[in-house]
Amino acid sequence: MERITIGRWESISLLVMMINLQIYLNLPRVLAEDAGTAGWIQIAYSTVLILIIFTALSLLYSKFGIKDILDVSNMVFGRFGEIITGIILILYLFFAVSMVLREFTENVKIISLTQSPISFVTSFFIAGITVGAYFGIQAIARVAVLMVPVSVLAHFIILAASSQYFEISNIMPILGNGIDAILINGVEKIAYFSSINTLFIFSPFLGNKKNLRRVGYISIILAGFFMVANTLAYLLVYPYPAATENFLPIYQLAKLVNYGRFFQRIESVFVLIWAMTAFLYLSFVFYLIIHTFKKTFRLKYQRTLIPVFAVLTFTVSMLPQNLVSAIEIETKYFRLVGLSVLSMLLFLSAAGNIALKIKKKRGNV
Amino acid sequence: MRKVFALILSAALMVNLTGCFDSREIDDLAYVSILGLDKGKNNYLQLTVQIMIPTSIGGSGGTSGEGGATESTYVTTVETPTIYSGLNMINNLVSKQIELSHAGMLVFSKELAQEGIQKYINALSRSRQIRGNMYVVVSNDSAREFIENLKPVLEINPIKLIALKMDEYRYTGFSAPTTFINFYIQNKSTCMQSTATLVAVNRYNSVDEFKAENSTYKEKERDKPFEGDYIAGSTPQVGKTKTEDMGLAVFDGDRMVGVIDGQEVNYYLMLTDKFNKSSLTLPDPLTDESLVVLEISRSRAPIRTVTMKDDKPFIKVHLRLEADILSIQSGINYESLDYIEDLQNHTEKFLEKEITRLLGKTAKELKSDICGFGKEIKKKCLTWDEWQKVEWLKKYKDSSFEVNVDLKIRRPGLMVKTTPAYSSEGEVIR
Repeated sequence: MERITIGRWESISLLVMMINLQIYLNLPRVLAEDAGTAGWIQIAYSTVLILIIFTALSLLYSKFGIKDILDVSNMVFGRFGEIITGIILILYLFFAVSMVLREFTENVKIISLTQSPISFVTSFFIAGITVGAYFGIQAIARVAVLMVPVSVLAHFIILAASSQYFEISNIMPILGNGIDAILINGVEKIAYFSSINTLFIFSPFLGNKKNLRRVGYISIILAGFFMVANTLAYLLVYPYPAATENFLPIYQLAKLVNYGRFFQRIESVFVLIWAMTAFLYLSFVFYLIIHTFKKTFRLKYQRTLIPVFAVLTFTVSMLPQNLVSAIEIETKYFRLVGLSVLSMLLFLSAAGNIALKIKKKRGNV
Repeated sequence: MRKVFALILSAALMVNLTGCFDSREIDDLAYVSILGLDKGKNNYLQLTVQIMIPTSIGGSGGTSGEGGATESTYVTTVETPTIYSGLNMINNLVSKQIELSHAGMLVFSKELAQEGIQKYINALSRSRQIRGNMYVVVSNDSAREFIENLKPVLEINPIKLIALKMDEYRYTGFSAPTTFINFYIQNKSTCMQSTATLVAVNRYNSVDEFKAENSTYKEKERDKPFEGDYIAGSTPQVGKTKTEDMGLAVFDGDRMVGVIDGQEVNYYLMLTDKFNKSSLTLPDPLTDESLVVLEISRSRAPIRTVTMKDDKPFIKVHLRLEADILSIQSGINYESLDYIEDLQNHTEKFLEKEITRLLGKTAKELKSDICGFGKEIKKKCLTWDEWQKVEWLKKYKDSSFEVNVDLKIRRPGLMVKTTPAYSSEGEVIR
């Protein structure tokens, strides 16, 4: 059977798109709430921290080649460990896909499809991700390679066009809510990069272990750059504390763009790139759920799981009573879960190394 | 078989999705061009909307001028507890659904503005239909009266009319770009306060009714008013255009606390680096009765420094301007290198005095930092707590000012010198 692989740039596109999804949701606002006018410094600091953590993780992981985290947990804790890890990962990804699906559909409802019932909007997303999961990771990755540059370009057009409203005093005082807020709360903001966890789930698709490290570094640096740029642009336009009011910060920026009579109302571009990103994110995470489930429980086929998980995702996404509850769950708990999974990866990698050493001593390797 | 199925599915989707929940035909909507808010008589608010009649704007009768001009919009007013309940009531009155995404102007009556307008600004900020480039103005009369009298004369398209009207500040300097987003940002800012363009209906019906008392010239110790010494509604003009915009309404927080006139808006624009160009009339440096008119334009951004002396702000401004000569009534050759410096120095002194007077007015009388000098202090603070402790908006009233103007006259127009006219008695000297 032919081994499925995806290229380096395809993987980078997927990861950048996944990490940067938060920009479209509420990242600049949350950073403004936390660090005030220094929100952009806080996320730059978190980028440095995640680079350090990723370095440690990739060093620990280097001995496992392109094995995924399920293989590593199997090696350390056996079949039982693999199943537990698999279940944790499935729950984590399922939680991510459901909450993000709900937030995106609510956002679409607020901005564009105000009259449509939420279930109607959600069903379109479900249809899209089902198709994505059906065609598989290669198809999703190829679409990402095509779409991510378009999305980045459109995004920078929005940022550049909103520069007419930039006011340098809006990011002053430079340290915002203080150095403590930046440094201490910045640690927690690593959670924004928790999508990097998925790299250790789809690592077997990367082909070789050199790619794993390169993909990780480049993705974190690019995603960090986009996060800093977007937060900075938002804070340059909206003064703190007014910056904490907007529910969709980048949409608000796009709405302001107004150059003459012919270059305005470009938020329609925003809605387009936003929907593209949402479809890619949801399709990819949904695919990973199916893939992890199949691998954890050693099933022969995975496509048969798609309708089951699609219905489950749809149902769970409807659970939060309202948008504010969905945001609350996403911002408070999902980040905590993301950080926990990251810690689990570190723990399993370290434990794997110890297990390898013990085996070596015993002459089993 | 798969292809046939895909085709049937696509066709079915195409047919069904075109009529989904959010489909709205553009000719099924009533586009609002102006929203007006007055204090209600029996309820909290009176909401007035000017609705565009697209067939009159784009139709064959839609030429500029009288023909059809008054019919390109129609105005309706309801009394309501809130903006959105009022819009709902209007939806019930008109045959099409109200749409705000093309609204170009939001008018508050002076009475409402003096009570505080934050709740209305917040309500509109929440709407996806409202755009940041909609203009916020304060009407010296009721908002309804202003909207009813805003008749298109040279431009039949109401949205273009608003855009052109509010863009006049680029060459008159008598109003400012007080867009919704600017107003919102200034309103929520901790280092500056907001302004809105002042509009009104002109009351003069004939030239015999003109009164100089309605001008602000006396405050400036002048004998006669100059062109900017008016606020909206008092400009001596008669003609087809009954509405005018001149001056700014000044806010402290969300309450209007006073006004500045057209000439003062010029200085406000210079101080905030929004100034483009405008004409400036000033007394002749060497003769008392003549006037000189210059076209002033921005040369470089103003340099603003703010320091705290004994916990009181000391504000220093250095303005850099250019000018072209438009008129020299006295005929003195100010264009020549011998005199040009005299005119330059005189203009600089004139502007310094006027601008210092305006700044004093914003601090002592209005107690509102509309020029945003707080930004300069904010930049010097390291943390938000440190900035909060400054209590800038509270301290602004104690500010003292030093204004320096650096003005260079560049061009004399098409004349390089003035030669006198000759009469039967010889040279005419006036």
